[in-house]
Amino acid sequence: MTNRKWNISLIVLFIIFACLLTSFLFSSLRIRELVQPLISSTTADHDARRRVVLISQELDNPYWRSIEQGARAASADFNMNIEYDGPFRIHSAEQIRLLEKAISKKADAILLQGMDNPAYKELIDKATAIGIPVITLDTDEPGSSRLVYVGTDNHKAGIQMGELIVQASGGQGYIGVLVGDEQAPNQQHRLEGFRSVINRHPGLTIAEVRSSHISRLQAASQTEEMLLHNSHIRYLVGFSALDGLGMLEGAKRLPEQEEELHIFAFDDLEETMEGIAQGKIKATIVQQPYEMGYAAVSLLQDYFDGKILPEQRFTAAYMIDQSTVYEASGADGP
Amino acid sequence: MTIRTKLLLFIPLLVLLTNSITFFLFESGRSLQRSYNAMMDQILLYEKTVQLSEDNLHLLYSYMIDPVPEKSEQLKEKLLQLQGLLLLLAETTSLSVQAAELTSYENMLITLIEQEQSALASAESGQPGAALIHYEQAEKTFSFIREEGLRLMDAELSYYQPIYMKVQLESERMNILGSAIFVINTIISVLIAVWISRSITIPVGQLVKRAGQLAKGQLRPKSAVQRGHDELGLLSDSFEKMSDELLNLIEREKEHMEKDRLVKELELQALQSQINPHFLFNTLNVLSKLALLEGAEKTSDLIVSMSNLMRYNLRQLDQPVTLREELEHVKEYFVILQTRFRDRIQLKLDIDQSVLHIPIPALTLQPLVENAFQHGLERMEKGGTIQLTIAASGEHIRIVVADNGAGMDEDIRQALLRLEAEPGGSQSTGLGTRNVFKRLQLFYGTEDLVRISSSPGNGTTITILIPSAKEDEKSYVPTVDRR
Repeated sequence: MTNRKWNISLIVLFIIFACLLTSFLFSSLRIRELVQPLISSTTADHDARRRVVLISQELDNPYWRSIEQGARAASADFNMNIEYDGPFRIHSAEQIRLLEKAISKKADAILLQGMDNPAYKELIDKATAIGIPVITLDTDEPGSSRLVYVGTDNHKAGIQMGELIVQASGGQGYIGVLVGDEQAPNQQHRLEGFRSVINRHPGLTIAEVRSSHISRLQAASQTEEMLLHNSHIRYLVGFSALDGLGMLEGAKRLPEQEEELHIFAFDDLEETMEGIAQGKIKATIVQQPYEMGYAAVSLLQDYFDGKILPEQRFTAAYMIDQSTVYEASGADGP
Repeated sequence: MTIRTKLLLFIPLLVLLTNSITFFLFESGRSLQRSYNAMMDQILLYEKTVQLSEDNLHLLYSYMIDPVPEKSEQLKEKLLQLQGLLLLLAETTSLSVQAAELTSYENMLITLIEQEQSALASAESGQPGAALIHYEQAEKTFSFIREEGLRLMDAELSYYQPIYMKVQLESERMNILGSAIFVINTIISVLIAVWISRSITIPVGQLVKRAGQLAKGQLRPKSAVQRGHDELGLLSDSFEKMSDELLNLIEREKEHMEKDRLVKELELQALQSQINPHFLFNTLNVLSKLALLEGAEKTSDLIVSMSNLMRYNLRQLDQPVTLREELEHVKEYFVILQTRFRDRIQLKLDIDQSVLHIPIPALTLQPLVENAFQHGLERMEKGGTIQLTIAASGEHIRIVVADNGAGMDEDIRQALLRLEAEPGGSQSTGLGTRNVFKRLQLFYGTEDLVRISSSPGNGTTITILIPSAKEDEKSYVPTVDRR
């Protein structure tokens, strides 16, 4: 072989070698890049923000999700950290356990739904005793040491519903009522408010009050039974979110009565809104969960700032019927 | 580049190359290991805290059943360990888990420690009822810790999974590249080693071959040898110089031998013509005195000239003489010739006296004049002239012997110049012109001393250019000394 060939082959080999080496180097650097954050993250950078635990009634409930969003928006404004938790299905024992957990986490504040349960009350007292402020949302926990209640004035909402019926019926007729849970204070307050209006009109009679146990199927069968039992019921009122849809399904099972029924629902589930748009549901009383979440966190900020808080902070509830449904659902309307 | 530099440069370079590659592969392996460790450490930390919390709780339980001091000591030690882990946890932050969540987890551990401590305190102070309440709370807290620990581990794992997959992919690539690099590196090392050894062994092989040729006496290289700039190149250079030198020496030796041979020839010819030169010389002297006594003065003069001629011829021939001596000799010779031929011939001299000290080989001018007479003038009835001119001409001395005789044709002229052997016998007193020319060349060490111009009927002019003495001192070495 000549020297020239030698040189050329050596140079070619060197070039291949250099290429391999650089691509190896790049691989190595890429791994380092991937891993670097993991290693360098040891520079402790603890979050100094206040940790607020929000315990919902049901984890993926849209109503509670709205509350979460309101709370998160406020926490961004006031530099707090929201930890949202809740049972997968409505389950009060789990809610109690989650409260215990939040206490053991030494959260800076806890937002929860009241349930008028002595064990729950005791835990709330325990939390406030070790310096964790507790705010009740949606439902109050009366008699506990909770800081403040944020939510709809359920009594007032009941009155609103009553006035709605009076207006619709002209003061004459039989009414069937569904509540989510007879034990739940928010339901009781609504019912009380409702009754206070109906009782002032002798022509109106509450034929029956049944519990749907916050289940759509239950609501449907309870409605069916109620209608079979009292065939002269013309007005159906539901005080929890799923009741309106349940009543709609229950009424469908009795076609001869269906046409004369007027259904009044609570809360703004999407299907409820559809029902209103189609005229199947007369009206609904809508709460403002987002406002609740936001208000709760801003009250917390006030508390941390040392301000004196009110006992209760009510968020408004308003009525939506066919004339206002498009505005309420905005772009979703047809 | 010399062989030494080459070896000193390339061997460490190869070692360095291989070592750095090895180190590089090793280092990237280590960094891969580190990244795996970083992932594992975080996950293991949660696992450890959960494990240690459980151990704590078991110890607390067994202490409450059987309250002996050793167990309480053990428990306290375990609690310290847990606090140590807690500090470690507080120092780390994770990318996958929010700092707030991590703080919550830490706080749970703190709660557990507090509850256990109060349970332990109650148990030690003999309040089993209170201790049990604290224990139950601790148990609950532990269930939260386990739940949260698992959740965090899960979060970490699902965060690391895509990174881990990418790292895995890169590391597989690196494995392939790494082996390829090793193979190429090996090939390059081998090639460089072969290249270096070739650069040494090939010139050595050529040198050995050349030495073999020299030993066989083949002094000229058969083909031009490529030479490097290293030690071997120098060696082969000096090898070639040596053989050139040797060739030169042989050439010179040949010349010396030739010169000696010619001088010997001259001496032999002289011997042939003088059977007993001393006897002849003495007799001539007696004859000259006798002629003087008898009043024949011309005869006496002639005999003296004859005698001088003889004596000059008897001198040591390999000793150079001066131009002056050589000129005197020519004059003596001509006196004899003129005695023989009287007015038919004439010698014209044109001599630059300043150059007559120049050394010149003996018997050079006279044979030329004799030659001019014999071949040019002998057959002329009258008016034969020989013109001898000695003149300085630049760095040379020009000696011209011209006659107006028969001349010669071109063939003979060329033959004379080529110094070919004289055809047929010679009528001269001894020495042929060729002998003269050859000796002049050998004496001065240069050819191209002699010019001849002649044509038939127009006479012959022989011009000899000899270098001035100064220049020639070096080249003039007595023949005797050369032996």
